[in-house]
Amino acid sequence: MIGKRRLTAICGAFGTGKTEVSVNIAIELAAEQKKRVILVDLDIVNLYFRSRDKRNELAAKGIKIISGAKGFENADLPALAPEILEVFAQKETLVVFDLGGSDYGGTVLSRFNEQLKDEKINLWLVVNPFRPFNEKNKDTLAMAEQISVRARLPVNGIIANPHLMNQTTIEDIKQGVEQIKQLERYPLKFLTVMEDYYKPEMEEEFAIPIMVLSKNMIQPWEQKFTNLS
Amino acid sequence: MSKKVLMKGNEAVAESAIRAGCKLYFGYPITPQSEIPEYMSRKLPQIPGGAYIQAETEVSAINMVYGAASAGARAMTTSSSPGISLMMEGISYIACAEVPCVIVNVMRGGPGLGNISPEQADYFQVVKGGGHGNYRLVVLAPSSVQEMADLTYDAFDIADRYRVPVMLVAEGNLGQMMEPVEFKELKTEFIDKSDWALTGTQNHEPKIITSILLDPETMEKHIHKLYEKYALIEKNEVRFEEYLTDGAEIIIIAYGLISRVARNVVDKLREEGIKAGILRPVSLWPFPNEAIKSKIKQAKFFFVCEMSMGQMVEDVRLAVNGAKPVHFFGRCGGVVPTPIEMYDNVKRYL
Amino acid sequence: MEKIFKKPKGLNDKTMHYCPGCGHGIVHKMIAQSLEELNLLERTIFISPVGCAVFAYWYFNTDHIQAAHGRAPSAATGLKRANPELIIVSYQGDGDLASAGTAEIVHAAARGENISVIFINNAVYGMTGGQMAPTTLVGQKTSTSPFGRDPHFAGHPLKVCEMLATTKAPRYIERTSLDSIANLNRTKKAVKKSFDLQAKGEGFSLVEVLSPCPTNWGMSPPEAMDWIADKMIKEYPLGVFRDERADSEVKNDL
Ligand SMILES: Cc1ncc(C[n+]2csc(CCOP(=O)(O)OP(=O)(O)O)c2C)c(N)n1
Ligand code: SF4
Ligand SMILES: [Mg+2]
Repeated sequence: MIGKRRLTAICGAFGTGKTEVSVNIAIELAAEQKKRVILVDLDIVNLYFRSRDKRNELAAKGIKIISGAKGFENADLPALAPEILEVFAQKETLVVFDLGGSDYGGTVLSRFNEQLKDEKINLWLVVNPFRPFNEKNKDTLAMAEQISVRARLPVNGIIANPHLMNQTTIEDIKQGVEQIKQLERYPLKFLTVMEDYYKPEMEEEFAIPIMVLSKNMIQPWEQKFTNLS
Repeated sequence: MSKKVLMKGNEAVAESAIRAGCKLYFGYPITPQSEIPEYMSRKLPQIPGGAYIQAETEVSAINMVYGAASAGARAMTTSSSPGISLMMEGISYIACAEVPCVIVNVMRGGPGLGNISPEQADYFQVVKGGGHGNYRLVVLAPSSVQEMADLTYDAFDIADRYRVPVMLVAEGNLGQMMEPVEFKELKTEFIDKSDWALTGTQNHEPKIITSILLDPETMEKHIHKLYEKYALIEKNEVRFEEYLTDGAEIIIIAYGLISRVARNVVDKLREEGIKAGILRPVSLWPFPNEAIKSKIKQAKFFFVCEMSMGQMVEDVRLAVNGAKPVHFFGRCGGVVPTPIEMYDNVKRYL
Repeated sequence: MEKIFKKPKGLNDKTMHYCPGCGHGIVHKMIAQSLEELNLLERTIFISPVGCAVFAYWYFNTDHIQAAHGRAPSAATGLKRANPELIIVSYQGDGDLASAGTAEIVHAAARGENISVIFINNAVYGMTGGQMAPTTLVGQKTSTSPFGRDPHFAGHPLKVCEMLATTKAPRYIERTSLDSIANLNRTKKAVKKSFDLQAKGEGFSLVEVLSPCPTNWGMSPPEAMDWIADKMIKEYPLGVFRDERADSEVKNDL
């Protein structure tokens, strides 16, 4: 589903599900390709619900997270860890960049323009038409353009992530996909569906590849009592 | 497509305020509430008569609200704990001058600069005073993104109805998390403010909005007038929600997001045949004293859970007044308690 | 002179509480006259500060709001943004404007809020008993600088007009004085000009008035006037510090 490129960057408007999608892509890469996977958390805009908060769980799956400067993970500082530069040198590792929200998220990538000169990168836009800044396709397209400008790289794919969290219905997904399909300017790479409401017959119904998301960002009030004595 | 949109709590506050007819927003950036000024700075300049002003400090922001609301407009400011501390002066003036407005506090860890993680340790400050003098602040505590929207909308109505400042308090993660939300229609009918709002003296005698009353007797009279209003608010505006409290012997009291952790715990306890339920204060002032009192008879004990060292628990103890044990469990500094540790702590008292 | 002492429509009949020889009352009359002459009284909201002028609302036949110490420019911003038709008179003393509210005035000016600030500089905290203000002259004795303001401990006087004139947005900034008939006339003209500019939507203006506080200076009213002429004007030169429209380079056509 990810294709042959070693580098994938996930961008989009605030709260469209970039982190959830990035984490799932990293997990899929680690499982399928048996290579070292690094998830680079460049979300310097959002400070809650970041992939770096799942460091230990992902390490167990063979995924390393690189995020803000060490010791400052909980600060509202846009500090990048110096080890981020390593991912460009280590040509054997697969890398997923989780960019921050909106066009500002793209700015961070622009910082690595030098490193990205000789290597092709997937720059995929996550779209959830239930989010305020994705409600209209014209806004989504404007954002894709802005991200391209800020990142100094063209957006080259779209990931459809239509959902209303745990209140999502099949009908919602259907309507969301229909709307996203009209974003013809960018190729639609795949549709994501949360495992809770995924059904195999969806593959046929929507006629696009589906990535089933396992829920990795679980809130305290959502935790189950499975490991109680 | 469904009428619902997926929004962060902070975005929901901003959109709902606009729907409530708030066209004037004054604020200063601080995490974890910056999505509100960001949203407002995108939307308000596009609305006729709308303005987003980034104030130089929170001190200034609350005074801009004072001015705008004195002209009869619906105005709002938002911040997080350290910024709310700076607003306390203005809130005291606004309360005394009886100017309706809405303030949102997306609480973070303190004291001091603290951190940007969620906490509920501003309860004392906002519920018990914060600013100087005899006044009360209506304080509403949502526990979901939908409620962030609904209570913001209602806050403007309560403010206008009683001519009081109203504050919404939300934990940092409630401001940041996303949930589906549905908005009310754009409000078009408002309470008539022409008897007090400053509009110039074309059609009436000069009006004054002030908080200085030099003569002690006059000041006392004014305070009594404020407190008559507060009594009315206590009568009409108490809000709370109950979950499985029918016949419950363990009454968990928690507000805001942590009440959702408590739901998880209650479900588990019920599974085990333990009769537990939740009473969730939605208005922190006016506090649901009577609702709590009504549970004294059936309760073995009350269990208060907060993301602080224990602040609301004092109000619960006042309501229960020694009739039954009141136990407390809290985490602070920005740590959100897990259902498991809350469960273990309830069980200690069984 | 005669004109200055005629009761303008903007003032009611109450006797002012200011001490004999105080500058506040004189400037109040100029404000009321100017508003009347420009036919702006009915649209005016007067903002009184914390300071001796806190009770200005007793005298003006306009709508009125009382602001917290130093915050008048913020309340003014809110009022004006809520209703641009209003004429906002933000009246402040030197303790209020140049100490408690330094941030508020600087930023209201930097934003170019379309308001008129009348700034009464009497070099002391009048209301609280003549303590040292940021505008107190070096060597000037006050109740909290009993040996005279010592710049080693208390720094030097803050010059508000000069400081604000470094920002681009203000439309009009002038310092005047009440110490002579010529200066009284100039002050009246400046106050009126400030309101006129606001009514035309031209932007932020501030008139600083060097004003006597005989009570706290421990001087007779004529001595106080002399002290302004001899001492204050040397530290605070009179004149226009800004009188032009800053053309913004950025147009709002995103
Ligand atoms: C927060 C706050 N601090 C202090 C005071 C006390 N106070 C009242 S008036 C004043 C000084 C006023 O001086 P100025 O602005 O120069 O006005 P004047 O009386 O000289 O006209 C002070 C410090 C107050 N009211 N509020
Ligand atoms: S104390 Fe000074 S400023 Fe205050 S009223 Fe008296 S003379 Fe005027
Ligand atoms: Mg003074």
